[in-house]
Amino acid sequence: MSAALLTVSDLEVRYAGARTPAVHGLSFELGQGGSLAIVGESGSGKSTAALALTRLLPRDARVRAGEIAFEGRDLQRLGARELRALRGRRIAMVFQDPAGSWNPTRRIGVQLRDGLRAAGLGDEARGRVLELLRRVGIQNPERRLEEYPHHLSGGMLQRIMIAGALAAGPSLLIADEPTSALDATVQAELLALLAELRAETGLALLIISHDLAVVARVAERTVVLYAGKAVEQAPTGALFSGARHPYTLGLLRSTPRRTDAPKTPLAAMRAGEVAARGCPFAPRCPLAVERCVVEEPGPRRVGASTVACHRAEEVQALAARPA
Amino acid sequence: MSPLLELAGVDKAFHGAGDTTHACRSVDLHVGEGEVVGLVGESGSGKSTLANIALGLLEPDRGEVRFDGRPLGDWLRREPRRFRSQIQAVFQQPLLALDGRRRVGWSVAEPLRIHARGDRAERRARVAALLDRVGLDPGIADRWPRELSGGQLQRVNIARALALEPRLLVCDEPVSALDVSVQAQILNLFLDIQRDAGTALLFISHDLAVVRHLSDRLVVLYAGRVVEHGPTAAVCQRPQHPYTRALLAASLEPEAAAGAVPEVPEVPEVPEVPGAPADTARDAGPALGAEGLPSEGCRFAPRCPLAEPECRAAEPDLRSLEPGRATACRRAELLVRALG
Amino acid sequence: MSATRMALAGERVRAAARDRRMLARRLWIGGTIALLLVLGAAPGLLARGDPYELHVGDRLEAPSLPHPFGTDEAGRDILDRVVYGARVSLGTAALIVGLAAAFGTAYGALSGWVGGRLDRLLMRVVDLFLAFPYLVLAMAVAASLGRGTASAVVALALVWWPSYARMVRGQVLSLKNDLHVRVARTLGASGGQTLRWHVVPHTFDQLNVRFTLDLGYAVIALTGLSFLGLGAQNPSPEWGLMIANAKSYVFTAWWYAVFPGLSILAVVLNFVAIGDELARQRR
Repeated sequence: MSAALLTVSDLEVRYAGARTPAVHGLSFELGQGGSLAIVGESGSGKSTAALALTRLLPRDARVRAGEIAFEGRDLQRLGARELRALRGRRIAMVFQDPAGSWNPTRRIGVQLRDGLRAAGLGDEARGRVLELLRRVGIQNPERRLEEYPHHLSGGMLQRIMIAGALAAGPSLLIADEPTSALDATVQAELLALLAELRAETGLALLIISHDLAVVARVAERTVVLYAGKAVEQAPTGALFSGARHPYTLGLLRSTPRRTDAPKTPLAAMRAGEVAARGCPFAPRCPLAVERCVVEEPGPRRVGASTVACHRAEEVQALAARPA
Repeated sequence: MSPLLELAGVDKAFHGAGDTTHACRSVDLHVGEGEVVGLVGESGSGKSTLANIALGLLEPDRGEVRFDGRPLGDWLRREPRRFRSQIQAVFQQPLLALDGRRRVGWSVAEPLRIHARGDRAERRARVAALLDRVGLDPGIADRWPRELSGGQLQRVNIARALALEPRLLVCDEPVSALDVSVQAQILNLFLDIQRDAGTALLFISHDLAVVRHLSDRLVVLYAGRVVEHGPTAAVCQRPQHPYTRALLAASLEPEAAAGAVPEVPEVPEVPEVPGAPADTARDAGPALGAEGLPSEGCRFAPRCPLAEPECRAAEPDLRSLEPGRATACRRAELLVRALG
Repeated sequence: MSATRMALAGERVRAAARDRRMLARRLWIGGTIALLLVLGAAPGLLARGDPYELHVGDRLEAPSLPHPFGTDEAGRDILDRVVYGARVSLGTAALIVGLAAAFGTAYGALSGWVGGRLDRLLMRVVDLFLAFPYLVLAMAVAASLGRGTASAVVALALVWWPSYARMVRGQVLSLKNDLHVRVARTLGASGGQTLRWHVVPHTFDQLNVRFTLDLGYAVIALTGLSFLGLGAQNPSPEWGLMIANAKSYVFTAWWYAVFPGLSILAVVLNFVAIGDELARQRR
């Protein structure tokens, strides 16, 4: 196990005036060259958590953590300028909507150049960028740089974004739903590319997604968020084959499978509110008991997972039952 | 017996500033009574255009559209109300499909009002029954659309679509904007409705996993053309077009992708095609538009591991290798052989 | 999607402070409207006498306790006349804008909905009207229909309807493509039904704003016409007319012109502010 590149402990994000925190009690570790996914549905707080790390949230968001340590330094203690220096150079980010991330009135090359300048790279980086563009599969990179964003497809724009993000040689790439706006075939390509780049450059990856299949392709470890809380955390393979939290299991079973008999109902989760007290998932949980409503479960080790559930041991038995 | 909905040789092009987009090219499609047909296509494949044509909202440039044996033009001229009562739609954006200035109950009752079914009291009762049918509390009728969640809104849309007991539901990406867990609930609802009322579904989506789960037959669309169609299981287990195969490979399930589970026998193995380059389709640009899409020959050729010069020269027609199936690939036999 | 959610969450803080300010504004608007309604419906509550009653003995008296706004050259109490004049000026203005809005909306909605050549033709007509300076049009109408409030109403309504037509047409063009409008068609609604139920109601928000603002401007236009002798005629207590009559006494009886003038100012400013507030609420 390599020394941890990024250590987050007890991250809490709370918006002023909100009754409940958007994220609370989130802890995880990402090793050098490793990959971690944060998975959740809308409202789970996954994007909030990712943006909170590099202080990219709006001003009324209070971010507090026991520690947010990157390459040995606590990011919370850094001043704004130091943090800016980190962003782009050591920590790169890629976002969800390729078309929306680019200014439609300026050429790609110009915007890339500006981005690189902000990260402290001068025009000499141009050569490196062109090389990276070729590496990510863009033929004729010189021509592409002259184009406007609306001439290029989502897949190409994301590739260019990634190339730009990697130009400064960061050690961590944070990708927030990088493929959600793309077609399935393009998505597969892009994820394969990310995996290759990681292998070549030793880049660590923190990926945020709602899509379990995406996560499965790129992440060594996965954290599942529900209502701002990490309900389960495990090596990805173990998570999928042996989920220890009813929500994780529910998510997995909500996905249509090839092996399902055609036209059989999916094991959908019950709809329900997020509980303000006790376990937030209790209203929807098939295993919920008295204790779950009263006492919020803390994280503990069960099998290969760190899971926040009073009845984690019984979840696999639930998995064996038919829908 | 003639199919419930039939599209034959449908062409539709949109003329923008300077360029023309051929959204649909020579599309043949049919949905039988009580059948669920899944239409799969990625962005730019023309699937939404087809939905609009099937609903009579757009007129094709060429080709025919027939409902219950009669041309759409005829229906719309002579019996538009009756036509509308038999074919309904559910769209992708649950909130936008409802009039934000009207309460939920008003919107659900609208088809009943338009077609003069019953008086106000009867309509109220029917709305309550419909809301219950889709798994919502009837009290929701008094709420405003913006107060509801995505899943609830989509159920409301489905309730409205069912009000007139249509024979065919055209669903254009109905679950794409929803969370995974909500998606599962809505898919179950569709299954339910189809079973209970025998409603036919034309289910359009970019997500193969979703479509696969519901459909009796699959139709695969690429760049405005049907490239393959056939019974769902057959198409998924033994695809006969390289694009279908790429789609299948791209929609791996979590367990398989994570390598957590060894080969499950029923999961179709998609091996290397002998002599072909790497399996994945190369991204050569958007499906439609200036980049990457050739203007002649097979549109998939630039991304196809099996492509040959003759593929680029002339666009292949649909042909049948087995009864009930068809593929528009010159080299389909090669694919079939490789898959065993 | 998550970015939107964050932006919305951040808004909560600012929204709390905004709510307090908004409450204050709403109270003030409510108060103003209430006052105007009283003035319009029951001027007798605020006035103390008959605005037409002549007291030639008291002519041109300065503001005093029995006559807070003074008297005019016929001895009529100016406060009374201003109060009754509100009904005339505001009422007429409301009528004008109401007519213009009703006709303009119908015209513009139809034009935008139908589209194509008819739309272009109808908009050419609108352009024609918009090209006319309002005063010229008003004078032409007065010349043909004779002077008086009625011709002023006709003239100003003719001046005003085109901008409503244009505004509503623009909205309809955009609303036509909304999903819920397309859905209405799939449900079997006819074009007319869709237009009436689903398109036009969505223009109301903007219409409200426009209407309110225009009320203020209509008062000015009306008083302007009356001042020129083309609108209300004596002895109507219309504010513009009062100012016209006060022309000769500006240096000797300052109150005669000032109070009606201030009333016009107050009313117009209020309407503009209310319209502004409505616009802000639409965000």
